[in-house]
Amino acid sequence: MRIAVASGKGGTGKTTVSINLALSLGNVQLLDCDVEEPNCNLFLNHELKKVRDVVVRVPFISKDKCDLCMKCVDICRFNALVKLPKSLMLFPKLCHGCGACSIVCPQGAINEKCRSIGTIERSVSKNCGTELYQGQLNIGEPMASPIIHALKTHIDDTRTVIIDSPPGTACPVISAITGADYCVLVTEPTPFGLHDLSLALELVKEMRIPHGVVINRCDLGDERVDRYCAENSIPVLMKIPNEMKIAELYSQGIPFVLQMPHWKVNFVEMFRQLQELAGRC
Amino acid sequence: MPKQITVISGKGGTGKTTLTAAFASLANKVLIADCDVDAADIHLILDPISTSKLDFYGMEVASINEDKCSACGLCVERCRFAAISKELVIDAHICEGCGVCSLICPENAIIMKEHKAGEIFRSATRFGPLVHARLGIGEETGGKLVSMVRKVSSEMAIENDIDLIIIDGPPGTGCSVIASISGVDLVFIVTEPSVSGIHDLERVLEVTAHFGIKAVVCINKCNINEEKTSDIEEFCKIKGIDVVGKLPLSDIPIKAMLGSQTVIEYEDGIFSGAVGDMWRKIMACGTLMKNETKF
Amino acid sequence: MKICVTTKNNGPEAGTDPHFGRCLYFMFVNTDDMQYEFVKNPYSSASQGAGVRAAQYVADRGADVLICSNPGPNAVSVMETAGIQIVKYPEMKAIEAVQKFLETNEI
Repeated sequence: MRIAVASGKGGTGKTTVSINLALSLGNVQLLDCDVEEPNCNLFLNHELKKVRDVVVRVPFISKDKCDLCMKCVDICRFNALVKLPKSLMLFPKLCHGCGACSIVCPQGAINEKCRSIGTIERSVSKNCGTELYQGQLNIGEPMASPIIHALKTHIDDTRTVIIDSPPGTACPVISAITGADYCVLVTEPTPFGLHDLSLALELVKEMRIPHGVVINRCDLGDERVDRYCAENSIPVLMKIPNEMKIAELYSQGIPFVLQMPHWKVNFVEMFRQLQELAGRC
Repeated sequence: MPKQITVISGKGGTGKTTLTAAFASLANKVLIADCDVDAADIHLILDPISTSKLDFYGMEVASINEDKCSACGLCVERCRFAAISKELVIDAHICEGCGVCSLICPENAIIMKEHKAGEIFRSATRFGPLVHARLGIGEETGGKLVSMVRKVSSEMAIENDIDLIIIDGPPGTGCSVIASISGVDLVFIVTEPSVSGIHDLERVLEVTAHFGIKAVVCINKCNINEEKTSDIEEFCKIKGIDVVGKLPLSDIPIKAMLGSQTVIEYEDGIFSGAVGDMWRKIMACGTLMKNETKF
Repeated sequence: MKICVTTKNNGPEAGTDPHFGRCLYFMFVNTDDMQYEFVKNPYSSASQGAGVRAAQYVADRGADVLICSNPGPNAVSVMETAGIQIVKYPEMKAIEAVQKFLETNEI
């Protein structure tokens, strides 16, 4: 079963939920798809081993064959190619690797080569068997989706898979949660939390993924998220209080279920509940 | 020409929008530009009344003319983003708009269509005008929308004789962040002392350094980890960046937010006092003073 | 020589625009006869890579000098490769920026 953990905005506690759920269940696969800021391993602190590079194709222009006709420059919708008086210049970070330039080049001057935009790393816990795959986008690289697609090729569907999604509702989130059997949306009981939750809900509804809500720092705000969920028949799976102890453990990089073991029971119960919900939908 | 301040933070949830709204209520005459278009939340505090709106168009997306299509499947094969299903349906969320399908289609059955990605609003609030945007679900933000919001903001500020623009910036360090800080007079960075705090701060400072923009730092929730707080202070000292304020973890921002108020409106105490002190330090920054040249 | 200034509008009163790729107009000045013309920046609303294409445009029109206070990293690398000098002045009238350049640089 694939469980995606997502949220409309950053900083709501997505990684906290993913990690604590993974450690409570044990023997699961955890995919850190927040490739711009993969934080899961900061909490697991396991030894990461590089699995592979993630590459995209970029044009490689043969100077001898190129007659500077500019067809490639004009066809590129990402403005990644520039013609200067004596040469063509490529801006690899703007290139999406679509291959249009090599299709239109009349001289056959454009080949493609692979360019690494990030890596996939893996770690395994000796204690509980949690297997982490994390994608990391190289600094300054703009395209997260190819890394997320590459990460998802490592999914082992014989196990429980937890997908820590990037924040927001843009393309990388869609790449991360596509194919999930259930999506856990993490939010806060505040006006900001509710607003961002409603955007995330629109997305999961459109993608027809069964979903429920975890309310983090539940004693901070008011009843509005509860009320909204009740009115729209969205299950509230769990509430996590705003305890100084939890915030401190977070800042030190310690998953709170390790020091507050009674929470393990809650996470296991949540898992049981969402298994049921995923089956029902 | 109005002076401009952009408020940014490497990661989300650090309190950027709370502080932007607080500054709006402290400033004398101000225009607020919400460039955090992924999680555009400031309107929830400022309670704007929209006066006009503009459509925003993103990258074009491919569209198949079924009358011409011979179902040869070449487009499915050549699309490198897997945006076209076997049933020859284009998923507009996945389509990157590269145009390869339309280029190779032997029947010329695929055209690239303009695609509305969101809307930009001009609004009025109790603190001054607000320019904000709403993006469609699954839409990419990028520099274009941020630039449009800023352009509309500058025009409105000049029309209304306002000499300060506060920009609520997007998270991260990508293109939209660059678009939200280029040409501003000061960047105000909100960070927090957690494991990812310093890392994000370093990346943001690289970007401000490239543009030669003065940056100042605020450490929010400073008491959740005193050690990391002093690490950040030490780091800033080495880099020659001023830490203009430290705020403790507090429930005041949330209580204020629940009543659609800024922290300044909500209370007159230690927390709002610290925010006020920070604002005065910011306004005393050389780059925001009148008649000061940047170069 | 040819000087390009990024501007917010067109006409003799136009002010400089600190942005490069998404500025509204370019003012091109030929220093031989001091004739100037304003051209709309065709890439000001490009979804992506506005700076890169605008830089190509300025290079194609044969500019030797660009006056703009905040070109982005991509635009700067095109300018460097094309051998165009970048001059950063604070915001002022475009005409004044050109005068300032001519007063402080010997051509």
